[in-house]
Amino acid sequence: MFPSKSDFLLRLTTCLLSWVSALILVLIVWFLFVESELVWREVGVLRFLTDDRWSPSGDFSSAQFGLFPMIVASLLLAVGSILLAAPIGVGAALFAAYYAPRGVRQIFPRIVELLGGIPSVVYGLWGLVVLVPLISAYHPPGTSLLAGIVVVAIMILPTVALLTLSTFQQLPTSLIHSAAALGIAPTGIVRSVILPASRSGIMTAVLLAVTRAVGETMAVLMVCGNVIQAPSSPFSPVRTLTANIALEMAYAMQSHRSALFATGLALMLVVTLLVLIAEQQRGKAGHV
Amino acid sequence: MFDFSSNHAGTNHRLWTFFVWTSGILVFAIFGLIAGDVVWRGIGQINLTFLTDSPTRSGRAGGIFPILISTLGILGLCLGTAIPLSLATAIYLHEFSRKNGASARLIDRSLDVLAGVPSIVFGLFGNAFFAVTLELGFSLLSGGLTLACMALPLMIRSTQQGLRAVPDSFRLTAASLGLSRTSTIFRILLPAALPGILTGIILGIGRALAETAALLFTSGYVTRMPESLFDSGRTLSIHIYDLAMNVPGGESNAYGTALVLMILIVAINVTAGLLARMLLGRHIRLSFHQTRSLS
Amino acid sequence: MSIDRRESVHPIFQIENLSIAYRGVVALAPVSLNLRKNAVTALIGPSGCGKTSFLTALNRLTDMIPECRVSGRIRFDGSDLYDPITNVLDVRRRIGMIFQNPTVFPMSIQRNLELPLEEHGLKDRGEKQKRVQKALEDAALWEEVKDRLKENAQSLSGGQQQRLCVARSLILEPEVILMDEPCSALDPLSTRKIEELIHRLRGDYTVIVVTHNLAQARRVADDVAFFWMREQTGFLVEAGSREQLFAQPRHPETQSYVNGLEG
Repeated sequence: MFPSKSDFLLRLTTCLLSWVSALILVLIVWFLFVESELVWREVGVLRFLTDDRWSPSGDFSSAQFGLFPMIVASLLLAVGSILLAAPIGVGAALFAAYYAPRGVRQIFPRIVELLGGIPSVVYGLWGLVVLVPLISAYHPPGTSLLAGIVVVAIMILPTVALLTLSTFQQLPTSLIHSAAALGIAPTGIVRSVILPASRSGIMTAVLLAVTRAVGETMAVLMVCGNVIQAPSSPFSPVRTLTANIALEMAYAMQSHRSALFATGLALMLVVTLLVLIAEQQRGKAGHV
Repeated sequence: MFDFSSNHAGTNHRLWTFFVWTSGILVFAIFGLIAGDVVWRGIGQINLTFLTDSPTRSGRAGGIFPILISTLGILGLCLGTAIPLSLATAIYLHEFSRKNGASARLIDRSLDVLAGVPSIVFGLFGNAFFAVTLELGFSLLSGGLTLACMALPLMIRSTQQGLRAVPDSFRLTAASLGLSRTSTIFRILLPAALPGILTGIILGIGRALAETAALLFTSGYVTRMPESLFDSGRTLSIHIYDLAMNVPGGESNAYGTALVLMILIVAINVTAGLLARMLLGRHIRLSFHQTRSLS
Repeated sequence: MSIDRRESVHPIFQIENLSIAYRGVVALAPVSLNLRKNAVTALIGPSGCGKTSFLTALNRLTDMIPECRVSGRIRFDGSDLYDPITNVLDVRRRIGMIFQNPTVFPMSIQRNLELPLEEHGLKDRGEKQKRVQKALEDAALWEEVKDRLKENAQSLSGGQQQRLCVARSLILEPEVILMDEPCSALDPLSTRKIEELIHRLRGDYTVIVVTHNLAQARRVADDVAFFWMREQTGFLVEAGSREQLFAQPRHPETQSYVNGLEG
């Protein structure tokens, strides 16, 4: 099987190292579980939803573990930002694939890649210095769910646009030409041929973008105001699950620390589910 | 490609065209707005002393020298760990494992999931594993290793794509000349897959430089000059966050730091592009979107 | 079946009941055949009849193809090719192969030639230089490239690339050269150069060439083996000397194929 000893060694080493790579995921889940075990055992899942407040330090009988307002905030943020980013992202991909002048078509992906490469703290900084005062002028305090939705929508826009664009580029040209040959108008071609044929690809793009929105921490932390409350309007300051971890990990002890890890584990499960669904969609897209 | 920009009657069509054009232009506008904002507010802060001085008054004044050093240290640790690991994994998955075999599928799937893990969760993990369990504490080492875990899936995917782009005839021809798999991989396949490998490294660097949440409780945010890899140190991105959020009046230096960070990212992209072109004598298009999708 | 007339004269390959299957589907039904040393043997037949599979079994390149199973026995120079103790890298040094599409590596012409030499243990610079020149001369390429050895091999024309591939095989001083339709991607002029090359190799090397070009087989071969296929499975119809097979084929399929009625 291995006429050369170096081949055997190389295969063995790369095999071991690739299991190390795969093991990272196992380690992550393991540590999240071990660190949060205390809180699962003493508190259980239900109190995260039913406790009135979030004051997780001290002993378990007096501590409060109410995550509900933060869950609502995270959910609204993800839903709001994807509702904003998905149509614009798909529109921008259509623009880059079929509508824009030739030169623009070529630089468009570069620009979007650059947009996607901007660090999230820079988005947060821009949101804090430019966007928040704008919102505040209309409806104080400015740091709000709305600010978070706008900033996160901008951050996930590149994911939607680039993945959708690559779906369009994989469509067979014959599909478009034969629709055109049937005398269907360009708008009709987009709506009756291109978009339906790319449905799986667009779904993958949107799901992966949602994954990013759910996990986004820094920008949200910087523009959302971090008040623990269920928002009464888009202008209410809110705190998301991710921001909560970032804010409190530095000083969290025992039950508090354990509760933060439990939040992390829950986030991880949600994101894993989304990724697996997205990958399944992508698999479907591959068979079109 | 079929051209849709031709005129066609109908309000429906006009509305649709308006929507598409608006979306497209919006993307350019947003990019212009944000990049312009950072350059506009940041450019005044940057001069030589900003790069070579230590921060004073919690960063409101002074420069970012120790922060640059910490950033480069963490980046170096990240790449030093992630590059060998990603090369080995990609080589195993693409050159040795049976395609669609159970173990390859399992490793592949776990990398997909790893790519989607939120950075704050990496922060929790890095804190629990590297800082506490391995007793590395808040240090460049903890931060760098945590970032390596994050960058790994991107870099593996990219290297795999690079290897996939090498025609099978190279493998068969090499075998027919009696070359061992090892020589084939190191002397023929990896050099030919260099564009993919470089793309992966660029993506990894981009991700590492941009990262903040995963570093908050792994590398920490001490502004001092780190004396060893076991010292805590803050990166440019953490510095931006801290100045913007925790230091009243820190905004202008936050912008200065943001501009330095963005210039660094662009410069690394351009250098790697030139390097690839030089090494291969032809233009390498960074296949960003497929790998990007994993982030 | 064998090339009976010359069976006694040094067969370099003795093949018994060789059969090849991909994913459990038999691509080549059992073949028994001897191949003469230092002769040119052409394998002819329609595409899909197992010629190429047969060829790749001879240097165990079939090992590289997933889900490919080889059964039967091949004796190469007297020893069992598929014996587990056989050093396959050494076997492949002794049996060179030229593919349908010229495959040069993306490096200089010189590196393309030195790489296999170094792999098989030759480190001495002067010796390497000497062998590079000799191989290029043998492949009738030296005059064209002697001033541009440092250039990327991919800048050569298709015909030159194919001759570089031949040189790269010859540099390892093999005993056998397998060629899989070496001219099908080349223009007529380059084709003639390769054919001339095959003529010059005759006597010093065993050449086994797969071709779908009957005229080429007539021009270059000493012996000819004719493959045919039935329901996706290829099989050997007959083999013999060039004169015998073209002038007095024993089987009706052979007769109609060589007379251009089928295939």
